[in-house]
Amino acid sequence: MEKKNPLKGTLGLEQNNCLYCTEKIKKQTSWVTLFPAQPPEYVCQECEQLLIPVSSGAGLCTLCSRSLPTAGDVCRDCKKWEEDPAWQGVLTCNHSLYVYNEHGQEVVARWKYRGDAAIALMFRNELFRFFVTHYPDYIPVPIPLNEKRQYERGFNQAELLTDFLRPPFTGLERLSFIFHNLRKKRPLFQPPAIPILLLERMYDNEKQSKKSRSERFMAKDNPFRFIEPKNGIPSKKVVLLDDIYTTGLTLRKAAVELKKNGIKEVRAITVFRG
Amino acid sequence: MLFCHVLQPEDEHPLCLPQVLIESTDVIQLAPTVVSNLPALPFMKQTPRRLLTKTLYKKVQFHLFGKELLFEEMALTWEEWEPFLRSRLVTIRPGLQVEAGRYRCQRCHSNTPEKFGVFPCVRCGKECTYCRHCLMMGRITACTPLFRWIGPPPPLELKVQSTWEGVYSAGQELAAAEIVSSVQSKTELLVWAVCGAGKTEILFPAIEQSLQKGEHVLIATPRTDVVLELAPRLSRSFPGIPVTALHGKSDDKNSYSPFVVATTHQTMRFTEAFDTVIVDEVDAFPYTADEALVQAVNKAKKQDAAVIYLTATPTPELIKRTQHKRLDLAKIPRRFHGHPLPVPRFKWCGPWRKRLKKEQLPAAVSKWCRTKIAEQTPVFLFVSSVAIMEKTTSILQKLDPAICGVHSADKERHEKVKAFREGEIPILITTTILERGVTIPGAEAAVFGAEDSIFTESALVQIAGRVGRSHEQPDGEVLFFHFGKTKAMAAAHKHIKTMNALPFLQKEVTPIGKEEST
Ligand SMILES: [Zn+2]
Ligand SMILES: [Zn+2]
Ligand SMILES: [Zn+2]
Ligand SMILES: [Zn+2]
Repeated sequence: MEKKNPLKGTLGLEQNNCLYCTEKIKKQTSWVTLFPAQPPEYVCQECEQLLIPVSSGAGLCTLCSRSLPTAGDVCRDCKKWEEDPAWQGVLTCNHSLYVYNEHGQEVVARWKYRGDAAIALMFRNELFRFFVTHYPDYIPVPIPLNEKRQYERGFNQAELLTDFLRPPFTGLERLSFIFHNLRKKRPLFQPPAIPILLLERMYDNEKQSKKSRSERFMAKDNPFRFIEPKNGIPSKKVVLLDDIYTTGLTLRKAAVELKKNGIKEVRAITVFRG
Repeated sequence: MLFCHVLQPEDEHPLCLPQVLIESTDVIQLAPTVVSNLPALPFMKQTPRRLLTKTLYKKVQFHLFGKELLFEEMALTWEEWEPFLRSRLVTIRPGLQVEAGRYRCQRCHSNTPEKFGVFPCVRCGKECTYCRHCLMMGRITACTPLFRWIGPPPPLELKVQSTWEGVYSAGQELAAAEIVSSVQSKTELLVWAVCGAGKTEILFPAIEQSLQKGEHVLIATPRTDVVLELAPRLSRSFPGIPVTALHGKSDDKNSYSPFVVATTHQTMRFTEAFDTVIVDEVDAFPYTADEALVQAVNKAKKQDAAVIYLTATPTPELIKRTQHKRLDLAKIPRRFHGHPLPVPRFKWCGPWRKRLKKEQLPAAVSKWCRTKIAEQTPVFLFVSSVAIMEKTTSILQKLDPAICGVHSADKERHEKVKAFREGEIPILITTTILERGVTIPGAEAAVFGAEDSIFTESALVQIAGRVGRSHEQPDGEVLFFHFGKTKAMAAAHKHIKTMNALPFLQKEVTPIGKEEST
């Protein structure tokens, strides 16, 4: 299938109904609405407010986006990861967009388990904004699903997210990467790195949930396999995309496989921090 | 999975089969494609010519009869499906069908673009459209087939006998007879029964007869509360037969019974299943607001079926249909206890929104509330919005902290209604959510801000209908506090007066054509 930015024909665009509650979105008049190239609004204000950004708390773990009482700290789990020589530095850091609260769980249930693929659009604008601000030169790589799971669901949620970082871009998206190029003194019109499916996933030997946490930390059997792209790798830096960061094990296993194959730096963006 | 139309050897009509089941003897008429690209096939009934195990046959027959289900809902392999498909006991058709250039979901009948989503589908390898409207029942995409039983209906050996032993009022008696004849002749009938007429009991003779003949009966209602209230009552009245109750939260959605009580939403599960369909509270939200639900109920009935509509407040469209003789009408203008409906009184209460802003209620309203608390009369106080409900509740709680407010999204709604029923709450302030279905003996009702457009004629008639429901207390006060009388208020007043003026024992069932316009 030809990969493209899944923008057209999807709910919420022509009709201007909220993607989540299906109510008509009330247009707000502000200076933004006068701006012709603004990205489409996918959810109404009420639904938007139900998603709590991770940064709304006092502090964040600088490595994994977990909320902490003070700013600039590293959480206990991340300290453990970084003390373990097997995992040290494998994943530079993870940034999550939202807190995985009750509402977050409801959203994920509808998105993944009910199979409401269009829900991904709820995260599109935030995801793009974060990507061009911080990682425009990192290759976006989705965490793959195994074939069976992917067939059942009909899609891979991480891939839907990654597809938002593919051209074509909206006018405002184009303006925003030009702005960041200017800020970082990169060539002005240079687009951000194009996503590549660098990983595939074999069947996991055991269901993760059946193992205890410490066993999982030890687990070295890696379900991910590197796929050598035909045209080579344009960058040695990768940003992994996934829906939720829970323990960070999955992302780290993917990072290990990437690093075995010549990638020097791996970071992650996840929608929710569990 | 791709599908094709094939001709089996010695067969004149094509079948729809998945690509994996095609044999060398089959002649492919339409090449493998996404199922929604295939045109619909007419139903051809044929005798089985493939061997089937009896247990599997029964399982599929009972599970699938009258419904259209997804592959995932049946947990059978394609190899197990093959004999059913080849012998035309089961047929498959696309879940989304293209009609006039746009998709229509064959389960929920949605066809407006905002009900659909598109995603790059791994199953069919294309940009695939799916219905978001009925997603909670399992996703239907453009590449999803629906399975439907077209073989013989499950055999039934049930003794159906109603154990209801109550006595009908004269009006009930006539309406019950009218329903029986409508069910026998498979026609449509509107039963216009005032609030408190006892409209559930009048269904019993017709349901009994229909089930005894081995027919399938559906009672559909827009409201989950009504399903929850009705199902146990019906189980008690028809002990010989299992009653399937279907609403959003019911656990077992797949047990087979010829007698189903369901929300109009859940009727989407059925296709040409019922001989008798009763739509209770036919004018209630969301049924009237959602054309797809009307179609879902339509799809659930057999082509030749009786349809009975029940309501106290028929919509103008329904009344028009009776006037144009396209729909029979039976009217019960009296309550089962024989007393007239309480007539609402109007009371002007000034610019109350301004007063609310100052944390005050109009004097008339707070005076009335105080009197009712002193009298220990339970009171419904209807308001037009959640915000007004919250404001009014916080002010009234100063009179009595037990006073409570409730709205549709309130998680404790059922608990609060229960507490109100048990006399623990003196005044229940509510949005229009409680306008129907809830019966509290001895309760009185008032509308605060009755001029709001949310209070339509039917809403106001239903609200007045909350009062005087029991034999012991057949009367009570209904007050509309307003800041300017509306047409709807006047119409509701006239509606109730007209009903009360109709002769009690004279012809309450009016055959077609003799009905005077109201
Ligand atoms: Zn919304
Ligand atoms: Zn951390
Ligand atoms: Zn649908
Ligand atoms: Zn598909």
